[in-house]
Amino acid sequence: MGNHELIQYLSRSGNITGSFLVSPSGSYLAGDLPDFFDSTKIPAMAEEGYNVLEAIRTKLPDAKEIRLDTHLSAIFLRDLGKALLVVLVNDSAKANSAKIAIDVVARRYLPEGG
Amino acid sequence: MEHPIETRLQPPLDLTIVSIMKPEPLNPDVIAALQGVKHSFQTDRNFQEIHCSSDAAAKLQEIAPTCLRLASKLTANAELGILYRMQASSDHDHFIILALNSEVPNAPGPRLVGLHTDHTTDIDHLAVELTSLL
Repeated sequence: MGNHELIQYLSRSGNITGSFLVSPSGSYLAGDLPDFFDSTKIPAMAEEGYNVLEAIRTKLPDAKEIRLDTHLSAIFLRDLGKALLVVLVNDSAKANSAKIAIDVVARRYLPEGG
Repeated sequence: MEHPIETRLQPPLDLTIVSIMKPEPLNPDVIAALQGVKHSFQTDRNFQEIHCSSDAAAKLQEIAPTCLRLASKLTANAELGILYRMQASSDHDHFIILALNSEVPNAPGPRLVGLHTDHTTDIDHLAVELTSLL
């Protein structure tokens, strides 16, 4: 499963508001973004996501996913090795179903060129 | 002539003691009994410790301020809302930080609860259980 296939799978799952993949350097790889989301924020979001992971790994070295809950949405950040998967879920009742879909694509992910 | 004793027993009333009183923790034994919980800590809104169950919990408590600051920055910059809880997961365990009563300025009790749990723990279920303890 490549970058675009992964995003398409998540979009079809019906529980996810939007998702995108970014490289560790912050380059946009693929995504299906909701209208409300400002795509210019993606590089900063990627950097901040990796910063959170790095901070957590000082005490929990095997951490691979972060879920952030706000009053607007649940945000999943999943480290796929050569990319960071960011998933937005606007309905918190759907977050657990979204998590299952994320686990499926994470197992099947095969990044282009590697 | 001696001063009446009562004149020497009227210090200014120090109300500051009220504001520095340590909040009462949620019952640590009840938290420990929640499904999957291995370690826990509780702090006030300034990350000052109210309760810490173990050395392992203390290590996680150390990184909680940094983790929350970075995660809050992410959600705020991306205009995705105000962070109230986060969960970091590996294949084996979760590190969960929940904000309690963040919308109530002078609420009693802890403001942050950190939990180290096994991978079976459902953060939504746990949040409901913790809220019921308040």
